[in-house]
Amino acid sequence: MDIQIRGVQKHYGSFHALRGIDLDIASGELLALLGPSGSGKTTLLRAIAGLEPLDGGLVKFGDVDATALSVQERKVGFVFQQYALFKHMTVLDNIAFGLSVRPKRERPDAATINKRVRELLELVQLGGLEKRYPAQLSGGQKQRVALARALAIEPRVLLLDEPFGALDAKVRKDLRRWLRQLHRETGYTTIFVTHDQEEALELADRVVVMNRGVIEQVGTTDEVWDAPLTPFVYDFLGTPNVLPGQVAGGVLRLSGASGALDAAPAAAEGTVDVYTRPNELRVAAADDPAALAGKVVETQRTGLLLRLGVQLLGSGAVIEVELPHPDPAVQRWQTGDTIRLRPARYRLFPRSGLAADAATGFDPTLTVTEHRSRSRS
Amino acid sequence: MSLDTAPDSPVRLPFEPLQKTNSVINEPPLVRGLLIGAALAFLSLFLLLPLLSVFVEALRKGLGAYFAAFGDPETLEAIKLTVIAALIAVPLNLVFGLSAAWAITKFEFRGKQFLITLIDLPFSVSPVVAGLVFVLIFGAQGWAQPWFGENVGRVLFSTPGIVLATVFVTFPFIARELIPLMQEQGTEDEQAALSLGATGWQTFTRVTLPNIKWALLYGVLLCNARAMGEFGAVSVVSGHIRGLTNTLPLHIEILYNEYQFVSAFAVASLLALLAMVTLALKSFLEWRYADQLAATRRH
Amino acid sequence: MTAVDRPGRRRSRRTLPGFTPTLGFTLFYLGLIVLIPLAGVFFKASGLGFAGIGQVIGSERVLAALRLSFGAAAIAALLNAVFGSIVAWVFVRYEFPGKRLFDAFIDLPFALPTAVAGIALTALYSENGWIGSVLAHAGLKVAYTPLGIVVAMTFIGLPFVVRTVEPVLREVERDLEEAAATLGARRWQTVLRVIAPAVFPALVTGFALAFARAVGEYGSVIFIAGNFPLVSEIAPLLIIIKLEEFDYPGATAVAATMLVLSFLLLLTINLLQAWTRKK
Repeated sequence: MDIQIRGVQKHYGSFHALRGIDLDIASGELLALLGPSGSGKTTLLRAIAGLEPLDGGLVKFGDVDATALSVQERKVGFVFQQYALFKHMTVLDNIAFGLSVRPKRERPDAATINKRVRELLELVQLGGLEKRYPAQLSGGQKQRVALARALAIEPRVLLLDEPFGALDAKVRKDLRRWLRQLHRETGYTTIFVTHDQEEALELADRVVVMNRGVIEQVGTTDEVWDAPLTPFVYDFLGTPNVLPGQVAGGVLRLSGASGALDAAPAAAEGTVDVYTRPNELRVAAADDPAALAGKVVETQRTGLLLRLGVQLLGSGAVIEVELPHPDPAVQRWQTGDTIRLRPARYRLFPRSGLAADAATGFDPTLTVTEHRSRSRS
Repeated sequence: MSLDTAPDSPVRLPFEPLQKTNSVINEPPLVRGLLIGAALAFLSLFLLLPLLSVFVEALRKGLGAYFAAFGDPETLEAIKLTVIAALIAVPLNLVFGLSAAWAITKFEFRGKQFLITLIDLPFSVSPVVAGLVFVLIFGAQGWAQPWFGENVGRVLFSTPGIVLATVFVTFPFIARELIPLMQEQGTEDEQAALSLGATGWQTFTRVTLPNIKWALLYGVLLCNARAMGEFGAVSVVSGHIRGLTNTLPLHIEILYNEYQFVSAFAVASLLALLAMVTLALKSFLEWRYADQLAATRRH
Repeated sequence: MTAVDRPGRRRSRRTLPGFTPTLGFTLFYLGLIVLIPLAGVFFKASGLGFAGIGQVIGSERVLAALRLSFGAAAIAALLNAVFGSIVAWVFVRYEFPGKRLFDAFIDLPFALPTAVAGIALTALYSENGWIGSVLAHAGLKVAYTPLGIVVAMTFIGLPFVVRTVEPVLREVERDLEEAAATLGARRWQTVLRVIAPAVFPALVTGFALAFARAVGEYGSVIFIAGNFPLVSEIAPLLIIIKLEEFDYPGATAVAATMLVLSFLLLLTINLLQAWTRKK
């Protein structure tokens, strides 16, 4: 089932959680909603499920306007972060719940329900555990029961809220691989929420990076990694160095360097921020006019990389550099050495983007959950 | 919130009207209204109206008649005895509560759960049976009476009997309040204090006591309310000697049975006021120090 | 065991001081105030023998009193279970004006002396009282009838169900209800199949506590009961009447029977609860 989201708006009191979200999700796609807490990713997921009434906009499942449907009618398989298993029911009753609450004429008979539940248990590799209670299961097993319960209603779409958030690292890795495989086998359109970029990039066909109630970028792993559209995406996926620079007369010059680095589009004229990742910086020749000079203040060898902290001579700012190691072409860097660097890859952003955010009244000390509970009481 | 007086202001208002209620986890307004109505009707019928009627009945013949009830020397005697009984019972049970809670929560030993059950026992014993217990011991044919009668004096139908019955019925209150809280708090603070060189007594007064003070006050409040209001047990052991072994609740009964309704309700209003003060303090403690009172509370 | 390793063992087991004196005092005081006196009842009762007890209990008046005490207590506890659940639900889930005030008043029956409650309820529900006069028009007489006993017992048992159900209801996660909704359950199905089973054990506990309290209640009941033998005379009152007649064996027999019956009932309910919890 494909999903169209158009202009979706949501407020919690004065907090603008979703500011006009547009998104198309293809049938059978595995999509990740990625962002920090407060970015609106969980709110968007809950909006798709119908758990949050919208203030505006449209959600369509195929040709059906889902906003006109109640949660019960939407038939979404929702897996909650803490699983929300019914503690007083066995695994079997938990999975059968969705079928057994159907109106009498739509409800399958007991034998059919039983058969379906057992198939699902096999699918999630929990055969033989149907008589257990949730308290008797491990975290990973609970996760699978929650998934089986969501699949039992043959949902239009599968929604997972931080599916691996409550698990330890080892189980998390196993389940990730398994979920990928399950998705291939079942083919459900699947959307999951995560704040873990590695998880999103590894698992999803496409990643939606969200921040402060808007979508910053939608793309494949390669797209969001190689071509971040906004400073936020750059920041969120890794720890870039931000170097101040000037664009004048179609030429970019880094502040503190004597010569021009590169040609620049005329649209970027003015003060700019140059985003470059630690591994995109290269050691420059001594006579390179575009390079920045600095002093090595920290060296750290990690595996095949040499990580340097370099204090720039001009501004005094410390930037991070990752060099391959051992690198036959270069000397072994020591603290106190003078080094000249130039970015081999970078991206320009005008120095104005931040001012807009300050006026919206967003309070970064509150998480979405707090806003949600505030607006309830 | 009507803050929308500046329509052209671009700044978002701090409060917006609440969104339409979320039907997923809420009931329709009609159902809500019916449930709230049923709950409040029940509470009004069984709690508020009785309390209100105490004061209305007490003031039925005006303020003069109301205050005249307290001029009666027998009423004053009853107040005195009630205060004495509470002044003895509450400290005794306070010491017991602290000591039982310390032993139960700071150490592991066999039969602990059973001990807790035994401490709760007086809760589930009818007050009349509690009184009977002491009649069987100290009554005319009681097994302790021959010795007590010669060496100590009268127990039944006098102050000691009333105090004993009061101690019995208020026995678990303070321990019950402290045990769950101190169980939750564990022993780390005390161990830290000891490792820093504090003596056992210093550890108790400077570490443990500050940690439990609000729960302790809470327990004392409830214990005191029950001590001053106990009726059944005290009624059995008192022998109803006017001006000698009458507590306030017993005095109310006598006045009521003599059809002195205004006086009966006037005295009752005194105890009702005490109950309201207790409830107010209790609510205040719960509101202000919720984290320092035990989460799991049973009465 | 040698003298050398003894203090070492003690230190490893009990790091805090004061175990022996506090436990010692606790047991001494518990024994002196509660256990020995209570044991006295059973000692005295055992002196009567089963035949003796049977003779006392078998009398029509005692049987009627026991039936009334336990029956009225059961009805009152049931009333409290129903309305107490509603009150707990309303307090946990809804906001309305005066909520804090009502919440504080829930505990009134714990704080208000029973004699005060007794005369207040009598004034209220007698034929010229505020409520009694309204009910009298409907032909319903409350004060001085078994119905009055139920009213008084409902009053004193009211906080138990509310206060045991409330915290459990508060802990029922919203997630569970949302999960049920996404799986297609209607609101009533969620309430019945998801919330009710989670709250049920607490409800049973509250019921049991309210019941136990009501069975033994004396102060608030005797004013409103009318106390007519065979009709509205509760068991605790019968104990007092027997004591006033210096019929100590009779009083003891009734008391012991009440203790045993209450104990058996609470035990049954505890077992039932353990069973539902395991399930």
